[in-house]
Amino acid sequence: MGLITRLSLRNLFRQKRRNLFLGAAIAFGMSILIVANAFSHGISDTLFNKMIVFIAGHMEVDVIENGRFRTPVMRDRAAYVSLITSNISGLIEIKDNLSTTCRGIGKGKSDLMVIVGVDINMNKLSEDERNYFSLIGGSYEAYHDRSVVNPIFITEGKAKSLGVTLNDQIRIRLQTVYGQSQTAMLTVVGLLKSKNAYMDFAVYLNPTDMKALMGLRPQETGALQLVLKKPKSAIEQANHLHDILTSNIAVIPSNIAGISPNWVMCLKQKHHASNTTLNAAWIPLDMAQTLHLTTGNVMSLTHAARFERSPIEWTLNVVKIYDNRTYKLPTGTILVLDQSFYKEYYANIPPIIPSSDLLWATLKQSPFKANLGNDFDILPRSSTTKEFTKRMKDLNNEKSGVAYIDVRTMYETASAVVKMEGVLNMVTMIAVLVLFFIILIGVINTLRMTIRERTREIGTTRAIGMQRRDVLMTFVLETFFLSVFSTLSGVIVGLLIIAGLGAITIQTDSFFSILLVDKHLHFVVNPITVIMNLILIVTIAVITAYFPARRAARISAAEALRHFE
Amino acid sequence: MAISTTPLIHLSSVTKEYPLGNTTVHALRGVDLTVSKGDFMSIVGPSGSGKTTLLNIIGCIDQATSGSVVIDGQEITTMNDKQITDLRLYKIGFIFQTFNLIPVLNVIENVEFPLLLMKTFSKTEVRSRAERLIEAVGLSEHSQHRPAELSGGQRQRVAIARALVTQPAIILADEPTANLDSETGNQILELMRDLNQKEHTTFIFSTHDHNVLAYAKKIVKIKDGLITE
Ligand SMILES: Nc1ncnc2c1ncn2[C@@H]1O[C@H](COP(=O)(O)OP(=O)(O)OP(=O)(O)O)[C@@H](O)[C@H]1O
Ligand SMILES: [Mg+2]
Repeated sequence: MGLITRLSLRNLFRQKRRNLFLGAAIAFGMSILIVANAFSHGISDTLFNKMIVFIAGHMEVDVIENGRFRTPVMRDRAAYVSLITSNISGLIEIKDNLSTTCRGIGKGKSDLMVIVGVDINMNKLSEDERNYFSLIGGSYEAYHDRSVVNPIFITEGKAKSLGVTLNDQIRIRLQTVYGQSQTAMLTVVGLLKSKNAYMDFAVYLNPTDMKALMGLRPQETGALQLVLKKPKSAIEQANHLHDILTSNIAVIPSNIAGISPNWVMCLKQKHHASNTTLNAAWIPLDMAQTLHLTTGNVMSLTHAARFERSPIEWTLNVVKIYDNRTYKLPTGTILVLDQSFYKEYYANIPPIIPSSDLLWATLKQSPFKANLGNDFDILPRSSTTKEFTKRMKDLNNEKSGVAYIDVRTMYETASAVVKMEGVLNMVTMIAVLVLFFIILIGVINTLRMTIRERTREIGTTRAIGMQRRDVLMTFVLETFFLSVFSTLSGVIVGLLIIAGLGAITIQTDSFFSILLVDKHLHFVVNPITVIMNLILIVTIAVITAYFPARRAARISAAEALRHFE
Repeated sequence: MAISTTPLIHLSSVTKEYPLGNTTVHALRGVDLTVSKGDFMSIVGPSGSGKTTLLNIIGCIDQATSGSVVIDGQEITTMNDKQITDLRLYKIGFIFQTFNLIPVLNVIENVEFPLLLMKTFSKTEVRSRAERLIEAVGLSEHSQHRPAELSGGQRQRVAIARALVTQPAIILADEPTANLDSETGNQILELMRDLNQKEHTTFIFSTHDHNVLAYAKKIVKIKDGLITE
C-alpha cells in the first residue's frame, strides 16, 4: 500500500465522529436512492410489462371506418400481421384487440362493462396471465364450450354488481363494427378472483364468439396490439411503421360482359357537387356507347373479392358520362362516388393488384388522379393524449367513408399510466439532488474542519518534502474512501429496506392496488443503475473534495507551521 | 580544492518582510551568513529577533523578500515550488520545537516517511535504514508505538531520526529543546553533537537558552533581524 493511501485511510479513522456522521448521511441518501430507484423500476415493470400489456399493448395499429374509433375493424388481419412482423423488431406478441363497451343487464341489475375477447387457454398462458385468471368457480373447459351461448368469465365484483352467479345469463346490447345495434346473451361459466380495481370493468369471452358478436368475419379482427421486448422503444417503432405505411389509389377490378378491362375507382365527392344517389357512377363515353347506356340508367357488374370464392354483384346508377380524352384514366374506368364506393370496397375487399400492373403507370400520368380516393388514409402520429383524443373525435367529420390507419403507442393512449413512471423518476431525481447537497455541504464542511486541524501537519509534510500534488491527493483520497465505504453501506442498507418492505403484505382495494404484485410492493433492483449511482455519488464527493484539498495543498509551509489550533 | 572552499549555505543581504495590517514587519534586515559543511552552529537571540524566520529561509520553506540564498551551490530564489520541495527532501532535515510527528503513523513509519517520498529505495532498504536510525536514537523498543504513546524526549528522538534518515547535507532545528526539561534537552543536544562528529552532518539550531550554547561550536547572535556577531 502506497504512502498516500495509507495516510488517507488512517486519517479517515482519526476524526471518527465527524466522518461517521458524514458517512452515515451519505449512506442514508444512497439507501434512499437505491430504494427509490428499485421502486420506480418495479412500477415501470408493472406498468409496461403487466398492466399496459393487458390494457393496450405497448403499441397498437387500428383501422377506423366511418369515424367509429371505438370499434376499429381490420379487414385483412393477415396482411397487417405480416407487415408488422417484418418491420417491428423485438416483437414478443401480437394480440387481437377485441373489445367493446356495452351495458349488461343481469338479474334486476345493470352495469356498464367491457367485453374482452381473449383466449384463456391454460396451456398457452404465461405464469402472470395464469395467476391473473384464477377461477373461484366454474371451469376452464366451459370457456371454450361451443354448445354454450357466449360463455364468459366474470370477476366476483362484476358478478355482484350485475346480481348474477355461475350459469346465469346477462343480456347485452352492443354495436357491431358495421355500426348496427344488436342484442345478445352471455352465459357466466366462470367466476374470477378480482385482482385489482380495473379488472372489475371487464368480462372475458373467447375470441371466436367475440368476433361473431362484433360482426367480424374470420379474416378480420378489431385491432392489433403489440407487446415489445423493449417497451420504451414503442415511439420509435411506431414512427417507423407509420413511415413505411403507404396508401394507393383504391381500385376494384371488375367484370362487365363484353368490356375488358374494366375497373371501379373512387371519386372524391368534395371535389364535385354532392350527389345523394346511392352507387352513383360516372362511366366513360366509349363504355356508354358499347353498352348503350345513358345518364339515369342502371348497370350491373361483378367483381372478385379477396376472401370470397364467388364474384360479388354490384349495381350502379349512371349519373354522368365522362370524356376520357381529358381525364386520361385507364381504359374502362368507372368512377363511383366515395361513400358508396368505400362501403363496397371494405365490405368485400378486392384482390391485390400487383404493382407491376400497367394500370398504376397510367394512373400516375392521369391529370385527374387527385380526385381519386385512396385505399386508406394514414393519420399523422399523435404525440400527446390530447392530440390523440382530438384526432379521434375529428374523424366523425370525415364523410368520404375512407378508412384511417392509426399507429399509436401507450405513450398517447395510456399516458396517465406512463406519467406515473415520470413522477417516480422525479422522486428519484429529488433523492439524488438531496444527496448531492448533503455531500456538497458535508464534504466541504468536514474537509474544512479537518484541514484547519491538520494545518501544522500539512506544514510538516511539506517541509519534509511532500509535493503539493501529494498533499492534495491525501485529502481527495480520504474523501474517496469515505464515499466508497458509505455508498457501499448505503447499498446494503437499501437492499435490506427493500427486502423488508417487499415482505409486507398489503391489503387494499384502492386504486393503488394496481401497483401491487400479489399484494406486495414490487421492487426491481437493477445492478447497472446501482453501480451507476455509486459511481455518480463517489464522483460528486471527489469533485467536491478537490477544491478544499487544493486550497490545503497551496498553503505555504512556513505559514502552516506557525499555525496553532 | 574548490569543493572545500565552497560554503554549504551562503546568504547575502537577505531581508524578510511580513505585511501586518497596514504596517510591515521587518523580520530580517539584511543578513549575510555563511555555513560550511560539518558546522555545528547555534543561532541565539531574544524572542522575536528573527531566528525562526532565518531558519525557514535557510530551510527553503519560506522565501526571502530580497537578497540571495545559495544552498549547496544552488540559488533557490529562482526555483519553482516543485524544485524547492525536492531540494528540501534531498538536502535538508528538520527538527521542530513541537516535534511535529505524524500522529497516525507509528515510530518506524514516521522515520520511513521521507524515504518513501523519495521513491528511490526498495521496501527492505527503507526499512533497514529506518531501523538503523531508530537504533541510533535509542528507540528500537518503541518502533511500533504511535507518537501519542511517547514522552517528549522520545518524540524528539524520532524527529531526529526522521531528519537524518535521508542523510541530508543540513539539519535545521528550531529550538529543539524548548519543549523539553533541561536534562532531556541536554541528552538531545548530545545526540545531535555525536551525530555531527560521527557523520559530519551540518547542524544549525536556534535557541534563546544560554545553557544550550555550551554545545555549539559556532554561535551566531541575532537581534532585531540583524546578525550582531
Ligand atoms: N507570518 C508573520 N506575519 C507577521 N509577522 C511575523 C510573521 N512571522 C514572524 N513575524 C514577526 O517577525 C519577527 C521575527 O519572528 P520570528 O518568529 O522569526 O522570531 P523568533 O526569533 O523565532 O522568536 P521566538 O523566539 O519567539 O520564536 C517577529 O517580530 C514576529 O512577530
Ligand atoms: Mg522562533
